[in-house]
Amino acid sequence: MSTDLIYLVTGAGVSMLGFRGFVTRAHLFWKILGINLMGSGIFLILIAAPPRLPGGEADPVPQAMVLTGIVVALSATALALGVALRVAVRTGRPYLEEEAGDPVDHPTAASEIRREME
Amino acid sequence: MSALPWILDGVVALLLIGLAYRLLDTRDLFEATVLYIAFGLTLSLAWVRLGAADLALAEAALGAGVTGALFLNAYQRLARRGEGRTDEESSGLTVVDDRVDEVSPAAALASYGVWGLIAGGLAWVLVTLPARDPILPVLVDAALEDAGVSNPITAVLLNFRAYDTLLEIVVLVAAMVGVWSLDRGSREFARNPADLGDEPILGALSRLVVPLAGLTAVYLTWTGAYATGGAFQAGALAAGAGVLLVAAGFMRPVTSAAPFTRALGVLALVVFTVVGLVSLFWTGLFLDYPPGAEYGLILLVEGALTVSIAVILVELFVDVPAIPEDDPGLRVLDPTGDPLGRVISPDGAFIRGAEEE
Repeated sequence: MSTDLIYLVTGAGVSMLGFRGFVTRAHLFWKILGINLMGSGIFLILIAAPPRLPGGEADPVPQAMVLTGIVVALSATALALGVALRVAVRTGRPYLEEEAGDPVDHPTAASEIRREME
Repeated sequence: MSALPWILDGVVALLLIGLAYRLLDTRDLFEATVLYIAFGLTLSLAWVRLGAADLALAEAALGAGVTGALFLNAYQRLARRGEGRTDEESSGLTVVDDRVDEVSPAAALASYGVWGLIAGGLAWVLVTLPARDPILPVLVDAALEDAGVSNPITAVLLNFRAYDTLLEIVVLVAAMVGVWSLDRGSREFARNPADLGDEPILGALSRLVVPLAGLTAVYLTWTGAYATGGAFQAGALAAGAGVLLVAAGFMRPVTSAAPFTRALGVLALVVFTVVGLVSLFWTGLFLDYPPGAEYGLILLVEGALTVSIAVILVELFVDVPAIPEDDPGLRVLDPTGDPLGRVISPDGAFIRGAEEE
């Protein structure tokens, strides 16, 4: 029982750290990392909250849900990284426009072609 | 009761919190990526302590392994963009731009205070939840006899809640299509196998690890019916082997254009749907397997799932990091880095492809 309690608290801490990272960091990669950590923390809560089976194994139903969740989180991460890289190519930086606060003219794919053609 | 389990759990919990804090706080993307892999491995230890061996397997292979490889790859693409540029031009790519991400120490402290309060409240609610007897495991146990498999997790995934798993493979296929639509597939890994002589460790390691991983994947698929294992862990392992093969140059990365890849990617979706339809006509309910045929059908779906998950994960790895401008061949096709293949003139106007807008 005590093990479950420790990981319940850990799950709460990790998920909120992830949420905070997602909200406060401007760099898109850290936002993706933050969402992933938030998910991991919630997975911990899902497994640690329900009572264990007599043999000490975790409840199979949330285990199946979390297993599904890990795979879905991975595919969403892959897609998000692809989009973030695309943003970096188009705007020159991996930031959302409203958060970039861009004082420098960063080279984008288009501006480099322009430079080469000149 | 000895104190050892307490110490072990305490160390794992502190590591998880510490790694999560550090990787979100650091300003160096490479450090964050490596710490994220360490976080995944530590989390798989936590799964073992929580009695969830299936999750430990999946976390080590997927959460730490494949996700880590994805992030490292994407990191490298960003780092390459910064090469040959001034510090000012490349700031904000792999090292945080302080002008954008700057937070005053007081504000940081205040925000940690607020988030700490929320986390504390959440933890308090969770810890004070009234204890109760298991409900769902009892239901699972009662129905396990008719499930066709004796591993309760596989029974939940592929019988009781087969809809979830069907929709999950839909999500995977959707992610693959989404990544494909972002670019045309990377040739970055089209390395000549003859070059492997320069990298003896990579070559020898792949020769050792890949056959073992393949064998273990087959074993896990088979054993999932009655013990720890199953299609997800097996697919993840096979995907890890595939990523290693591609990264080492043994296997040419197949692009989205390859019909074979597409067929293997949707194999599980097709097989699963056909099984569902067959059981619909047989028993009148979608995915309600005909009595007696459960084991065979579940094994069939599991096999297809393993293959498709492995192929999709390798595809996600191969395709995600491609930035066309890095590739002279693709640059001609796609000089703007535009997924629609439009060409931008020096003054920023569309030259080609604008009509389709």
